[in-house]
Amino acid sequence: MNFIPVLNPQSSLRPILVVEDNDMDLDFCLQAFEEHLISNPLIACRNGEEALRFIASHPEPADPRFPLLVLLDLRLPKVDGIEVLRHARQLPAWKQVPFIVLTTSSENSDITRAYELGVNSYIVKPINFDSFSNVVKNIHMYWILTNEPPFPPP
Amino acid sequence: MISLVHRFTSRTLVIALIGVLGVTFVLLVGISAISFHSTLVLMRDANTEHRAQQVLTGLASLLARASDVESTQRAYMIVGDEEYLASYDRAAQDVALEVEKLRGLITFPDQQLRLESLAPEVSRRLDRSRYLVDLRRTQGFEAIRDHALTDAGREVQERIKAIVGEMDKAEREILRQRGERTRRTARRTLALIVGTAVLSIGLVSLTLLFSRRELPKRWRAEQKLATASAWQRAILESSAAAIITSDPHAIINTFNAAAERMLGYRAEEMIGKTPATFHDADEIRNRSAELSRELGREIPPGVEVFLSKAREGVLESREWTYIRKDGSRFPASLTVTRMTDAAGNIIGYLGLATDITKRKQAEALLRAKNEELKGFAYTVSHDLKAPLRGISGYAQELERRHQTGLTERAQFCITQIITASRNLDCLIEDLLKYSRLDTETPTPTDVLLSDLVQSILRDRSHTLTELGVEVHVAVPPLKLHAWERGLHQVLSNLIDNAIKYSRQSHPPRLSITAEALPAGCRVTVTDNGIGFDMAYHDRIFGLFNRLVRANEFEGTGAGLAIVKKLMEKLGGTIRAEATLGEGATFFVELPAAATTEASS
Repeated sequence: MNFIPVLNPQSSLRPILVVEDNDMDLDFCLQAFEEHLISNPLIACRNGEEALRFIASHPEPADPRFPLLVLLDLRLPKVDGIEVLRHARQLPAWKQVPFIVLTTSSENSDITRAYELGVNSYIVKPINFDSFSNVVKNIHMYWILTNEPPFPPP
Repeated sequence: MISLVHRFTSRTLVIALIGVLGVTFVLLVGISAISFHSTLVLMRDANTEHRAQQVLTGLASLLARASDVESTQRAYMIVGDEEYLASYDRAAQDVALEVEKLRGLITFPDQQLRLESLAPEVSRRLDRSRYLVDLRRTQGFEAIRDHALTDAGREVQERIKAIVGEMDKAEREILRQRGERTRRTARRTLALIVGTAVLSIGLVSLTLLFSRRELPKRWRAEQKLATASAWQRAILESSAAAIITSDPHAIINTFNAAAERMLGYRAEEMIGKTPATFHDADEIRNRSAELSRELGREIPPGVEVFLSKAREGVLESREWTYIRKDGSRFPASLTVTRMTDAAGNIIGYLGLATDITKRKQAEALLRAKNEELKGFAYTVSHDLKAPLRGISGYAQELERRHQTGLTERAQFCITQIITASRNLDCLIEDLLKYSRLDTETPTPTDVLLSDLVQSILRDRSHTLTELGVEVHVAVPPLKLHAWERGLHQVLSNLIDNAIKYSRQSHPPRLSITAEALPAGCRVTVTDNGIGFDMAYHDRIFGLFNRLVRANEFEGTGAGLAIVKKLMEKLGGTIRAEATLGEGATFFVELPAAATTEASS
């Protein structure tokens, strides 16, 4: 299966992987990315199973499609986000990829489990688009522009 | 002595009583024997004494008769009167008679010897007298003149006197000795009788004392026992729980009415059998394996699975499947207790079983409801919020990117959509918060109340300054053992409410005070805001029961409902006092043991 970026497909930068089942949420995500002029390709997985397939087909950091960052929703059809995280953290290269949980759940149990499995950040999706856009802006500023990634650009 | 009596157990008491009675009996038998013996001795002595007296009289009389013989013989010899001869004959006969009498009386060998030596002397004396008397009668005075004037008979007479004197002396000695012995024996017997009587009276008194102390106790104990068995019967008959007792080997000996109803067996059918009769064999096998692992020794699959824990004194309720006589099954909760005697030996077991069919059904129902509720919370948080984010997001996009083509009314509509969806979001959040409280477990830690209040106020310092709120805090450094997050939320909500509803006062005033109570402490939050009518006191703590219109004061109306629920979890209470238009005071009372933190 071929994972074609839904945004900036021509970019040679490492992609950002978004695991999101909700159409509207994905749409807002794209809008926010565009608004903040994020130039990395954006690859979308629409459920947990797809995310696992993506991980399986991109095991090496040498792969130009190996992601810079993963934005992960927890409540997903088929395989939930926690399972995706658990699986990724068992692989040597994927273990080092920054994972940000971006979810509607503020349940303590979810937060605890996510951190136990080695998530790098946990963000509750704001209902308001302006707030959400602000979250994306902060992610861009910190994780894409400021943070030193584990693997060099391809 | 009294403490000794108190220490007597029933068994030693009986032994002591039997002992005392036994000793008394032996004493009485002993004293009877001794008395009998003493009386015999005394009787014999009295007899001997009487004889001795007779002997003495006999001796005196013998001497007197002998003297009579002498005098009458002499008188006849000199005078020759026939009258004297008759007197002489009588006296001579009397002397012989007296000797014979003495012979019959004397028993002591010494005296008998003396008597035997006396008798020939007397005979000789009599013979001589007879010879002289005969001589006088036949030949006249002249023939005996020499004899009459000489003292030829006096020699014999003196010897008789001497022997009689000796005998008299000996007899008096015997009499003296006997008298002494009799007095001694009598004294000893008297002492013995008095002593034994005193001892017996003492022992019997002691026994009576024991009995007087012990018998009421015993009587009370019996009363108690009677009451206890009446209780036992009442409990057995009226209990809704099945009560089954067994001997130490689980052989049933009591099977009460409830057990009969529950299991469909009659008591007569079950007595003598074991509880395994109405248990599921597979369950017993499983439990035996489980217990063997747990206790580290082999527990055979049988009645032992019910007893092994109870024997150690462990009281444990377990669920079992019971099988009725008709084969139908039902879940039961069984508690087995060991029964011990005073010495701690196990004399049997008591099983208490209840039919928990209804409870199991209720539990299953509750589990289903809880699952449903969790599902509801998930639905609310995820499925309800996702479309809400859509509504709000796209309305915002319209406002942001496509504003140019829109009329003023259209722009107003978009603003309303955005506001409404934000409010709905808050409502959903509060609803979630409220429902999540049920599943949260409070974990108490040491909380310094003054620090907690200060930190809440610090978080709101910006708002307080902006609104110009006059804040008065009088919270002593009380250390509470309480659920900190819950308490923080309660006080935050109350303080936020106070700030919110006093915003329009000039100036707004907020007062937070605390005091230690005999058990716990009380925190008071007072404002000078809009207050409320006390008629609505209970409504303000209900979920989404707002007393003011939403456009006057922001909020969903869940705040105080959350506070009330948190207070339940904290084990405390909350109430309010208010006057419409003049402010409100909220009293929070916590049961947590409060200690004043010294020099804090």
